[in-house]
Amino acid sequence: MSRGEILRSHYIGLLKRAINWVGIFTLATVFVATPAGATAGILGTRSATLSDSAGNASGVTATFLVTPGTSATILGVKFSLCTSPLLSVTCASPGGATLASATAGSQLKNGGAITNAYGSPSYTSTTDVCFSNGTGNAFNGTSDTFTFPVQAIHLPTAVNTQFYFRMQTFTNTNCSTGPTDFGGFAESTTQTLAVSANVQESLVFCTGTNTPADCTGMTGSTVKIGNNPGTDNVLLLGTATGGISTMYITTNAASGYSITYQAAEFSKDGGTTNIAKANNQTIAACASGSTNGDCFGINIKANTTPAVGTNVTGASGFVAPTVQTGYGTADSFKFVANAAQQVASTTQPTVQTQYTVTYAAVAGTTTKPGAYTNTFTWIATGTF
Amino acid sequence: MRKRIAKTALMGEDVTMRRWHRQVVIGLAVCLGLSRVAFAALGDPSSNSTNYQVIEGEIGGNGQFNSNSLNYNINPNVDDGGASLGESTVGNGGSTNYQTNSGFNTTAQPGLTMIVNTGAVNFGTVTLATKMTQTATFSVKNYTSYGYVVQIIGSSPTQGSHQLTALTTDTAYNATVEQFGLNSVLNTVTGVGANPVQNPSGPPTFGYGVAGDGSTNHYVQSDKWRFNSGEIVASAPKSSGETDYTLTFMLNAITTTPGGSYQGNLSLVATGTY
Repeated sequence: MSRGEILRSHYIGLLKRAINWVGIFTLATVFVATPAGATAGILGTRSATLSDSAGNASGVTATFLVTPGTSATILGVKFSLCTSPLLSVTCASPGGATLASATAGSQLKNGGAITNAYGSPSYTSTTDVCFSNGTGNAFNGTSDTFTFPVQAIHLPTAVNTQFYFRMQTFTNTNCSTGPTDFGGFAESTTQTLAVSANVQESLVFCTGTNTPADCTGMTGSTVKIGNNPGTDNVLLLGTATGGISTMYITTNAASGYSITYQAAEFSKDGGTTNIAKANNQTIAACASGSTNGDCFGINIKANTTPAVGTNVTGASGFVAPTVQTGYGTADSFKFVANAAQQVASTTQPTVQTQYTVTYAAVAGTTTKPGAYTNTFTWIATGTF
Repeated sequence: MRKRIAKTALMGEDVTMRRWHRQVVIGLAVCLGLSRVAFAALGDPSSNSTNYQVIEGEIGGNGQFNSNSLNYNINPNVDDGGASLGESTVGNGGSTNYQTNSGFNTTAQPGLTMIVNTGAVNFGTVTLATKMTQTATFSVKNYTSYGYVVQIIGSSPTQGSHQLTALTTDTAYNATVEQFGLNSVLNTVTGVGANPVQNPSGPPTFGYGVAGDGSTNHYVQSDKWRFNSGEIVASAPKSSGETDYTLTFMLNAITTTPGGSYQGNLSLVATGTY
């Protein structure tokens, strides 16, 4: 071997060793220089759905749905809430936002409950939270889906502001070593839409003697009872006669309404000579027990004795009222003078409801002759 | 003569050796020079002075600040369509199934911007058995995604214990029934609202937002309203430029709607899929 060949061989050897060292040095440099938390892979298809996006909203749940990206057994999952989605950028908290109280919700793998749920956070801070499980769960990087709700998030204060979540998976529970996959999620706070409307309180009530479609056509203010009502109006002895008035009521009162009346005695002289008053009884029963054999009373039912009146009715959906004792039984009447008396009520709003009030009376053999009258004032009260 | 020949031969080997030495020295110098360049590229190319610092040099024209260092390469994220540099083209190109974003604004950084332009939807004092309408507008654009959905979350306005009856299906106005709902389109009969508007309107346009979820017929039927918390009122099937939406709210109070001031808070939540 010539000297040149010896030298050539020597330098080639040196060059090979140099190349090896350069390779080793390069690999070492790469591994040493890779920052902790750097992630090998990228999360696959991913989204994060907020339960609320109002600026400064608290108690918000962000539901992360991802395809892991890399097949691995994941022991730690780290979430960050930052002003940038990039892992290379130090995570800064969007003003007012925090993950400090974040908790893990019920996690799913492929739509079913995950075997080893990631529980109490290993650590939390304003920007980061790490959930871990010592056993972890094995994921197929391309075919599995992983749903992870993170609860009790406080969103950035400002409205209409973009912010980001970061999600990293680790093969270690400390969410520091063994980074597997990383993904960023863009989110935005929004202004809340405040919807408001004013509905005026309403009570439409009318009384008369006809039965129009609604209160606009209501007329009549006199009810005549007796034989041939409207002509001679003579009360019959021993036989009850009657007449009617009508009332319509419609209200949006949240707690409903009540209807009362106020009336003086059924009298021929303003309160001295009066017809007896029924008290939850038939006119005949009332008359038989009265001094003069007469009686006067009202109810809001369809009666047969006398054959006057109709039951409470109304437009479709009307609310049937509760009727006070004495006024809600057919052929049974009641009348109380000089004191407000409630006849019917509801506890909720109602569409137009129609009442028919029957006024019935009978004369006795000793009933003093004369023109008996009284005035009823009907009052509807809404409870709003 | 034999000695001269031998000496000459030895001199020839010395010359060869010197040439080898020279080649090796030159080679090492070149290697050192290259390695210096290489290591300079591998390290953080920071430039700094007392008052200023350039954290990381940039190359290319696409604004990728992390385009060349030890841990990053010059290729945009695969979501952006792979390797591309420069800004000779700006904008978006695509077909039914694919699209590319290119130019200066191309970045792997996901983006989602949603702005609700209307803070209050106030019907004022309503007239019973009358179709009352109000509108609210919002805008959405997102980037580097498979699209987005916008959900409406909340409850219909409430007063005391009474909550206005929400229309759970797409329903036309009915004067005799209490109703509350909304839609995302122009209501031609009522003459209120608007269909989604792409901004800029183009051509070309970069907005792909649509009313509703793009698959069902919910919230997209003119003069029909609906409201179920959590449902999708707007969406885009892919990365989209700005789309401006108009929500039309409809309220009908009837005679049995309890009086009072009704209040309700609704949130619009945009979710991008990346």
